[in-house]
Amino acid sequence: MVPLLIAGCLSACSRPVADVVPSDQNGADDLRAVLETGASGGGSTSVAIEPTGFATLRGLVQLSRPVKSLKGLEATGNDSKLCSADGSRLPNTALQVGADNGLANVAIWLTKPRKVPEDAKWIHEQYQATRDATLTGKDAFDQKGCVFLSRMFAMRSTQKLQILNSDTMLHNTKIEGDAAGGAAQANSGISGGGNVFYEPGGYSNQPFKVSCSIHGWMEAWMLVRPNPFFAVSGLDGNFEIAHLPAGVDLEFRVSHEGRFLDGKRVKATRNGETLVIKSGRLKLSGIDPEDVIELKFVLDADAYGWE
Amino acid sequence: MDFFWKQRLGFVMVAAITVALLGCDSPQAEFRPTVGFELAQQTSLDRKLTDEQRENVATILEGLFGTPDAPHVPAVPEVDISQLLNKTSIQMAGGPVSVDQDGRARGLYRKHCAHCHGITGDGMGPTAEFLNPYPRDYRMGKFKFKSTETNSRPTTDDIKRIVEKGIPGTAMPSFRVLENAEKQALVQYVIYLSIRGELERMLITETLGGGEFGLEEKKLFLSMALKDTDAAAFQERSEWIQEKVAVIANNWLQAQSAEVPPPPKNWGSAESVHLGRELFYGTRAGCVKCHGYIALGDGDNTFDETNLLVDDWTKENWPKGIDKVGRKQRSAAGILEQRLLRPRNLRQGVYRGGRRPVDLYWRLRNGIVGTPMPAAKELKSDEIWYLLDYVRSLPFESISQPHKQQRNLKRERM
Repeated sequence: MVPLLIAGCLSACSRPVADVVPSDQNGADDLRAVLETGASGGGSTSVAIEPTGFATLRGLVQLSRPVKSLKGLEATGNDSKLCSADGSRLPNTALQVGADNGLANVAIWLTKPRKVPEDAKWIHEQYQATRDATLTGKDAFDQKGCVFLSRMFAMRSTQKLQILNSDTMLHNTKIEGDAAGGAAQANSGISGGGNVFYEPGGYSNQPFKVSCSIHGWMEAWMLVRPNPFFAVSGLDGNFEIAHLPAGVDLEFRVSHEGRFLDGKRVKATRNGETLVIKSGRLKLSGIDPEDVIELKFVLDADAYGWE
Repeated sequence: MDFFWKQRLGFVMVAAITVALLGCDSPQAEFRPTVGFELAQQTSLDRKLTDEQRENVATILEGLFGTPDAPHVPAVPEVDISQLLNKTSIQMAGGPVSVDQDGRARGLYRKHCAHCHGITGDGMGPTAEFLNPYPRDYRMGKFKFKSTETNSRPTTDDIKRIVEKGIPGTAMPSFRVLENAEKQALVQYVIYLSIRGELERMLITETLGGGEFGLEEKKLFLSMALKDTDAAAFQERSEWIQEKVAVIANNWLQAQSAEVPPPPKNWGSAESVHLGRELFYGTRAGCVKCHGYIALGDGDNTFDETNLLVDDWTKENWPKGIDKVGRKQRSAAGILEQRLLRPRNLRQGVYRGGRRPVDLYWRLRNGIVGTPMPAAKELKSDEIWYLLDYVRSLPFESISQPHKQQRNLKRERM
């Protein structure tokens, strides 16, 4: 009994720790040699094939049936009266459904080729003009009534963004950023009617969160890409990417609220024909210049658990 | 010897053997995986890492960074990493505690830091759970007290300042007594662990299919076998790893202290304190929301149970809406229990990031990374100095010194 008690006491004193993951030592040595000498061999990773022109990508995101709006958000704390004068709940923008079950805030962005050359064959002159633009006014990222006005905001890594506060009280816009792509994190207090600027400096591989530390219910997503080939669905569920490189194989990713769309819960079609979508990945090939590609995504509302 | 004593002796011997067995077990120093991040990514990407994939991530990391007993400085094309991580220093700080042939100390990190910050730099050393605040987890690349812009890494001088001076109001002590080369070695080892940790996070995201390559389920990110089956992919991913290590290293190499304009002429005057007070309670700086009306760190936000104040490490390890299974997984991996964040009680005059005016200027101008404390980007530099004046006056107000309050009140009435 006594030894058992001692053993129990001693073992209870140690906190559990994460299991060590075994590594392959020989493999580690081989990889070190490759990574440090640059002797990776293999083919070239540069894009060899060039576009033959430009096409248009249009899309529609719909729910399989009408759904109820999500329960509104409760404004709490001292600012609650300023956020909602009549005390009613604030709109929950995590699920914004428009006419004909159109789903807003679905982001689609080009992932392959991974590095899009910055020349006129790949990037249409119309995009060149806005490459280094500062997004202000109606293109800015804004907040009003203690809700971010854009639930899903997308921009280019070379652009600069004005963050507005159209409320009367102080907000605090905390941008998570993406260390892998280099999109900067930021966290700035913005007084009522004030504004600050955000320069991402790098891109993100997927949307990241934006929040307000003062009003914890405020939440949005931001996507920063190194090329102009991205879009976000509007309230009617429609999106469009103009001047898409034609004659090359492309791959996109699609997500809603930070979760990739997947064939298990989403039916995807290209001009009426079934399209494979797995973990948000969508391959498009056989694109001719001047083509108009019509994508359609129908999200199974039951599978998503929306009422 | 009668039966009674024989029986007692038997118990004592069994107990001694049990204690010896349990007590003598000193686990081998090994890097441990970042479980909190992995679980969070698994949820958002709706995938799980297989054991083989985990092993692959560990193998890549070992190839680049070695092991705790044999740390390695990765060579990165086009980046002079030796400016950041000196091989000799890393070997002096890493490895087991010992003394070399020339009498120089070895294993400094394990001797001075690992019991709180952990072998991996995960802030989960054996003593971590008893400390408040918890020790820093370096792996996110986020460091609170620094002189640089919000998005920048700290400078090596920033880390050295912490090592030398410690962090007031926390368990982080001063290591002033160490020799300069030893302190430098520790700073470099912290950076080494941070770079390793940041790359680990990127590799996990890539392996789970959430990164640039959109890896298919159950596939390994980079193995020698891939070289034979898909040489182009092998090369592309090798280059990606080199590129990422270079980017992380460059983030450290390029870190520079943010400019601090000189204070206005009236700084330090009653007028300056008054102007700072206006800002503190006003809607432009809004300090009162978290730091409270009496600046005790008890602002309205701290009472909002629906929006609890937590830091980025807690947010990642204990995400909102986590279920019972998730809680169990995290506890089993030794992830420290969730703790709420308390805004600083400004009446104590204890400033974790340093009490020099310049330290406080950086805190106000650039915020505190990893916490809700925002950067005051809208304020002019003079306004920051005024605010700083007011904050620094708070510990000297009567209300902050109750034991002297009667005497102070009498003096104020005279």
